[in-house]
Amino acid sequence: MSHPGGAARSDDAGGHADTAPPGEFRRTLVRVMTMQVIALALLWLLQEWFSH
Amino acid sequence: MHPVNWIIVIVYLVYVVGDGIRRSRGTTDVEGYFLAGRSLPWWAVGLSVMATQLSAVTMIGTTGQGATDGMRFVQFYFGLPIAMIILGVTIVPLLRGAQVFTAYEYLERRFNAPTRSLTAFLFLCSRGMSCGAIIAAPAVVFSAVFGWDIPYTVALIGIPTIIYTMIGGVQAVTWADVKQMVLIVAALFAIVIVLLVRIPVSPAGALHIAGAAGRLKTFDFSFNLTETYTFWSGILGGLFLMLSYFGTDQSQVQRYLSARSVSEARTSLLMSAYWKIPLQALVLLIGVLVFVFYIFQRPPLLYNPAHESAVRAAAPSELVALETKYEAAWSQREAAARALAAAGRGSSVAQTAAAAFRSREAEVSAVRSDALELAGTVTDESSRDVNYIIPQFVLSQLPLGMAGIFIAAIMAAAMSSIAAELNSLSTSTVVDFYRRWYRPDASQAGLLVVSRLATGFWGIVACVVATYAATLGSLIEVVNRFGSFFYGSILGVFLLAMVPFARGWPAFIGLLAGMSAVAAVSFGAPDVSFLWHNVIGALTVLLVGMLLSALTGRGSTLLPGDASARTQ
Repeated sequence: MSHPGGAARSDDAGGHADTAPPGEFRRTLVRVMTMQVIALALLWLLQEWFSH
Repeated sequence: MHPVNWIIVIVYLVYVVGDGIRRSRGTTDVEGYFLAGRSLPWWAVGLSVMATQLSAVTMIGTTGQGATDGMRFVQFYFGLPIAMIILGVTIVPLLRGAQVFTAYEYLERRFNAPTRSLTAFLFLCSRGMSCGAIIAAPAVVFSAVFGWDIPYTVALIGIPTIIYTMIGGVQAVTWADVKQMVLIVAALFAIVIVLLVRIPVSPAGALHIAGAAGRLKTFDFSFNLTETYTFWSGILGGLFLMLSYFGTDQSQVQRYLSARSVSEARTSLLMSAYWKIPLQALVLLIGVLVFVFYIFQRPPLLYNPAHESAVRAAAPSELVALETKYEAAWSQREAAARALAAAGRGSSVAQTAAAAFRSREAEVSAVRSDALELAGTVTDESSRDVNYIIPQFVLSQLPLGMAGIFIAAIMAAAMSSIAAELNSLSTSTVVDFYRRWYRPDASQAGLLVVSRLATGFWGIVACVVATYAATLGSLIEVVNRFGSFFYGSILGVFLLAMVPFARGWPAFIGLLAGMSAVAAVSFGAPDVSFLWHNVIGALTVLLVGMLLSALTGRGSTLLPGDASARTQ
């Protein structure tokens, strides 16, 4: 089938391969989890600081 | 609504439809129509995933829930980031590697055709109905607020969405989602600024008032299977729900199948993981601030204008008596709130002020409950008054132009969800049924025509369902309950697909067993809150499928990505 847009598909070639650097995914993962911990901590502080 | 606000809404609608038609150019095959030739950048796919999940119910219902129930609903999303990470390393490479159009197509390669057809059929039934419910929710609110008949409000939301989805395919859907997401976030931030400016106490004072009323209580660590929103149901039940939704529901799977690569598909999911909890907290916080705003600005006793008119016509004396009580209770609560905001936190004065405020708040709530009960008796329908809090606030309190932007944002939220649903319903209809069973040798041009017709067909079905669902509130509940019967079970089939010795018919029987188990707990045998249904469904399928596969022998299996697998 044709691929309109013609964008790179290198890491899909041959099935499961993923050519993204493994370190990059780990770094993104760490950023995501850090953001969640910060979000939950802020929600916790909001709840505790303003409860009476 | 002021003509300027209407002009903003109409300009937005014309732009979305025009852009969708423009995006259809160059689409010559079904891969282009359904998956944009797998060429979309991660950030567009990520915003599309978020826009699809953020429907008009979020803009209207969730903000309203924030106003009446506070922040605790955010616990529902605690499992989402973990689910996204798990999917990024499991389902995403699996489906991308298999080069499928639908998630269900993969199940035929791994198991057999009946398993694929049953899961695809369940998806079509459930999503066809729920698409109607997605249109119905804002259509009912717009109908009551603007005084239009429901078929007109359904058409206002449904027809532009059908046009751009039908003509432009996934390209139009995704790029419309990107713009719609920007509009929605801008409208949310704008409303926060307006609220902070218009609430007559400091932001800290406003939060003290919200905290004293229990609206900032977010975490509930009790382990209670019958309680819907707890930390544990969010982390565990929410995890399975999000795994089911993002991993096996075609409306989501199709989003990341259209990304350029596995890593871009993963990143698009992680984008959602990154922003979902903060965004949902912002939506709920708007509701909390609207609650505080209406402490200082007297709101209507009933937010639903249609119910208010009905009660005023049928029981005027009862309504006037309640309004008099409400006025007195509201004034006393306002005075208590001002004292609380001035007292700050920590001191014994603050504790006393908070206790006095809570007592006044209970009085106001009691009068509101009586009014809602009266409305229910007069109209003989569930009031769902919570869904009218934000539309009332937007139309009566926002400055000129901003109300139009917010109404356009509510429509954008509805349209982005509906468009993704229609696109995925059409994909499954064409790929899992038309091309699989009826015309395996159909030409690309022929498939493209059928795909557009299928999109139009599902759009009409959704509008018809929306028109009837709007008047039959209980129907939506039935549809939602029906949908929850197999959501977790389908996830169970995909989990089973990763077990090397699992086989076709055991998977099919496991799917039926999982649905039966969820049906049993749905009808209270035993009584378990709905967030746990997905856990029960998935684990039942996994256990039954593995047990039957082990008992019936280890026959030859097609492992994920097996080159000998059939391709349809």
